[in-house]
Amino acid sequence: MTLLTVDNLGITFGGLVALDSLSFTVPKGQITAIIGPNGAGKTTLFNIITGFYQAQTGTITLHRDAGPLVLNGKPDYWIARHAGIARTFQTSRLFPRMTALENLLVAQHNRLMKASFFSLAGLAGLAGFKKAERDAIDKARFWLEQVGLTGSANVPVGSLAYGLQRRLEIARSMCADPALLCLDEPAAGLNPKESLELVDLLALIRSRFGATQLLVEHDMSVVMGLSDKVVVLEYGRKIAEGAPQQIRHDPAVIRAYLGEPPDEDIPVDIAQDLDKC
Amino acid sequence: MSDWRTRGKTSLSAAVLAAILALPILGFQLSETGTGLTVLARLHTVAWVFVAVGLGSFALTSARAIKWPSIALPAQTSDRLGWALAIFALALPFLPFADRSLIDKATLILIYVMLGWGLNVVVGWAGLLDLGYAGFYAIGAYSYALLAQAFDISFWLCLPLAGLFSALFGLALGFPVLRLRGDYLAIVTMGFGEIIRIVLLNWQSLTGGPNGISNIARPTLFGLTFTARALDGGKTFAEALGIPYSANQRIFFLYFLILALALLTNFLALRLRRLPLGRAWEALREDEIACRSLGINPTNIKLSAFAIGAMCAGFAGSFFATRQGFITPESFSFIESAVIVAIVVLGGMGSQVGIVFAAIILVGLPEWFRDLQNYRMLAFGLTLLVVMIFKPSGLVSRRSPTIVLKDPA
Amino acid sequence: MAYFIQQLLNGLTLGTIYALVAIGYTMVYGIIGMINFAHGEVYMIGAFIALIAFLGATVHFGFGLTGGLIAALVITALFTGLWGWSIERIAYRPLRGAPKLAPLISAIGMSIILQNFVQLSQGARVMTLPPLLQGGIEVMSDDSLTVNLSWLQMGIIGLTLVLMTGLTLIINRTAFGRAQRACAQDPKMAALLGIHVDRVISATFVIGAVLASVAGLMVTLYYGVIDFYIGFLAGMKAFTAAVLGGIGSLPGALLGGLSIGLIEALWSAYFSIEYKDVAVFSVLILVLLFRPTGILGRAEVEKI
Repeated sequence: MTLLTVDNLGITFGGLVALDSLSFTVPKGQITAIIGPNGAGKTTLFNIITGFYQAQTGTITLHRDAGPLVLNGKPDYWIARHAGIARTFQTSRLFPRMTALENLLVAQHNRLMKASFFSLAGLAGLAGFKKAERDAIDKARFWLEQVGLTGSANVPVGSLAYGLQRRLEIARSMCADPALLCLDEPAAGLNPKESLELVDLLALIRSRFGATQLLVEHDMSVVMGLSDKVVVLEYGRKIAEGAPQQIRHDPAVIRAYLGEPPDEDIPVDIAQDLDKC
Repeated sequence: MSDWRTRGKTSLSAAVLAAILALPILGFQLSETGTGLTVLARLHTVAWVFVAVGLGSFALTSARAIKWPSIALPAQTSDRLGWALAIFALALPFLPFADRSLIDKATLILIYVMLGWGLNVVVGWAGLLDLGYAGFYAIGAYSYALLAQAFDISFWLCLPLAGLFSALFGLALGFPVLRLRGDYLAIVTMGFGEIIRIVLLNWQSLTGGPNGISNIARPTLFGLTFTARALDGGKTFAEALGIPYSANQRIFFLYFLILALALLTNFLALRLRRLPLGRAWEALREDEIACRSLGINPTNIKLSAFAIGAMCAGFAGSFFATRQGFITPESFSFIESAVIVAIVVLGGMGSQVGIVFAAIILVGLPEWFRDLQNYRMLAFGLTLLVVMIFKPSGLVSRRSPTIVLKDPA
Repeated sequence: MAYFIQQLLNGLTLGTIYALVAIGYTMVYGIIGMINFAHGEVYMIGAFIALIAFLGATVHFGFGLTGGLIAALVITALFTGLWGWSIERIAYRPLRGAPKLAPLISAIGMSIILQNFVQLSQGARVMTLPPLLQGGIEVMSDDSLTVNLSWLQMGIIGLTLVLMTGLTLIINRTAFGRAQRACAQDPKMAALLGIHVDRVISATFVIGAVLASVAGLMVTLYYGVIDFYIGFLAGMKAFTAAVLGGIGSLPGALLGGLSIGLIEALWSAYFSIEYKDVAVFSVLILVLLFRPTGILGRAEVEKI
């Protein structure tokens, strides 16, 4: 089952080709990792899928039960709302002065807005809205528990440690009940212990909630440990696609990461590093 | 900056600088003679500036050297303070020292408190810098005056209509421009404010131009007027209660009217803040991109804040018109917008209680110096400057959460 | 046709004056990202100092017309420059790193202070100066009208072009200009590389104030009337010009200033003089809607 099809995607920024006829698929309920050297176009790809940038060529199609949905040309908030694609950012983008609970409630905005009948029912304090609000709080509490932040529910998130902020951002995305979760370098800046916890959390999201995940990540231990499928980009082109095992030994991938291998010796330590993953 | 010598040095250089700055503008005066302009010297004034700035700077640097206790109000105290203020405001007219002029001043302050609360939704919560707020205030005032005059309908019907009209204007003006960011939005709203004022000034046939509109209908209470004698068929408030007429009755009635309007504004604003809409306003202020990634349409959210802010200004404008009895475009110049923004920022960007204090400081204090007419605005400017330098994040900068998880074990 | 050409010349003259004031806005915004609301008042103070210096020099010291003008130019540039420096030092520097709206409010406070200071010290009356420089050259004429380009207009346009060229050279070719551009892009990095950022910011304010004072002198000579309130509207239009041209850009300031001057002159001539300011602001709003970073401003790709 495919959830998302990316077909022949291309975008240039002032002459610089950021993505060039890129095609791949994202299988449903699995974790697909996008890897590649810096500047390969991974974040740009995310920005196009989530509607923050518009592609110049190609199509992105979401396959829902109700039928396929083409995402091109749709604004970002529309994609998040109607296609159910949630994302996190390379540097966390929480609402720093608001509390953790508030952050998680903002993620449920559209549902609550409808329940409050555009604030009128909310102003009147009608029971229907009260109930919806209680449900939203329960959901927020659930996700706070999952990321181990219940104790910080009423704390402005700007004061939380960096690692906690990253986890909270994932919890916030999950509160939106996404069909597809796009994670932009979730392990960046985490220490090894936090990285392990992150792997557990993402695996749980896959196993327990069946959420499809698209993962951009540099930390190979995270990528190899988690993903069901890996897509490798270099200079905006796809150079490999397949299971992690395959990717690890793909000569094109090794070349992309290590450079053109000189005839003499490949830097052994790096090759081993890649192998270990 | 703690020891005397450095403070003395700083003050001396400030005094010298001030004297040099004052030399051309204060030390010489342009004066008209029969044949044309000439300049007269009055260099002694520069000496005065030297002394005054020297002493003032010494006092200020000394004040800065002292460690002032910070007034960081915990959320609960802030709440209680709010209630205390509300009760005080209700009781004020019955206090022994409450004379006519005090109530008049308090009414004026309350107008600005209400405007501040309205603008706070836009600037403090949604984070949209609106420098044309006086334009919506003007639209409220003029729609009230024109509706009351043209259709002879009562204050109580005109009030919601004027608010609605202002809100519609807010929507119409806001829709095209709300995708602009920060300072661009500020300049465009400022432009709108000026456009509204210029149109009011020049659309003679509708608005009366620079002369404005006079003889605006006064408000009534359940049909009772606050005049000495009732109009044909009507009754005055004094007659209905069987008490002797006094001009104070109207002053006090107006006071309670604006107090009720302001409290209603406050109540609605605070309630909205705790709803999904209010949280979205604040989220938008914090990070618009994150909001978009969560499926929130930023334009709708901004528009709602803009329209609600404009509606409050419309209510306040109607009240202003009915209180004054006449309005001219002059009352809605840029300086009004600046005063209201200053109240919100000084209050602490989002704090309702802070806004009350800011309005008292910025509107109330200068009123007490009315006798020094000419120096009033100078004092206002100085207050803005000094308070911002000493408390750049406003009087009450603590944010209280909109919702709390009860048992966050 | 002659009428149109005449209005074009008038609009260009007015536009160059706006452009000079706009530079102060655009450079300050470029470097510290704030609207210096008091800049219009700096221009007003420049006009007053110029007038006082000119009268002092001619009436009391017996300078001739040329000598008086040069004296006025030098004195107003010196003192207004110092005003610009002091305003930054007093109202903005203590607020660096404060919440974004704080300097804006202190700027509004400063603007109110300056306006009322001048009103109190010089009175609220409009000061009228009889026209000093008369004559000019005849550009063209048809049956009804002769198009005149006055010496004064030529002087204003010429001096503006000289100043703009000089400033462009300073910004593009000198060490100070390099430091200025570096601070505008990344003040933290510039500071790490040993640039004295505060000094560069101060210098930027002084440059803006000096140019505004020259504009003040020009406006005094050109219109012959000034009062304490001229700073507000001129400041607002100059800021509009800066945004219209693309804030942060020097050629943008010139282009924006000229556009505003032309729109104002032509609208007054052909439509209604009462609504000329409405025309100016409407154009600004339209431009911002379709090109939010102004005519010459670089379109920003939203960084995510």
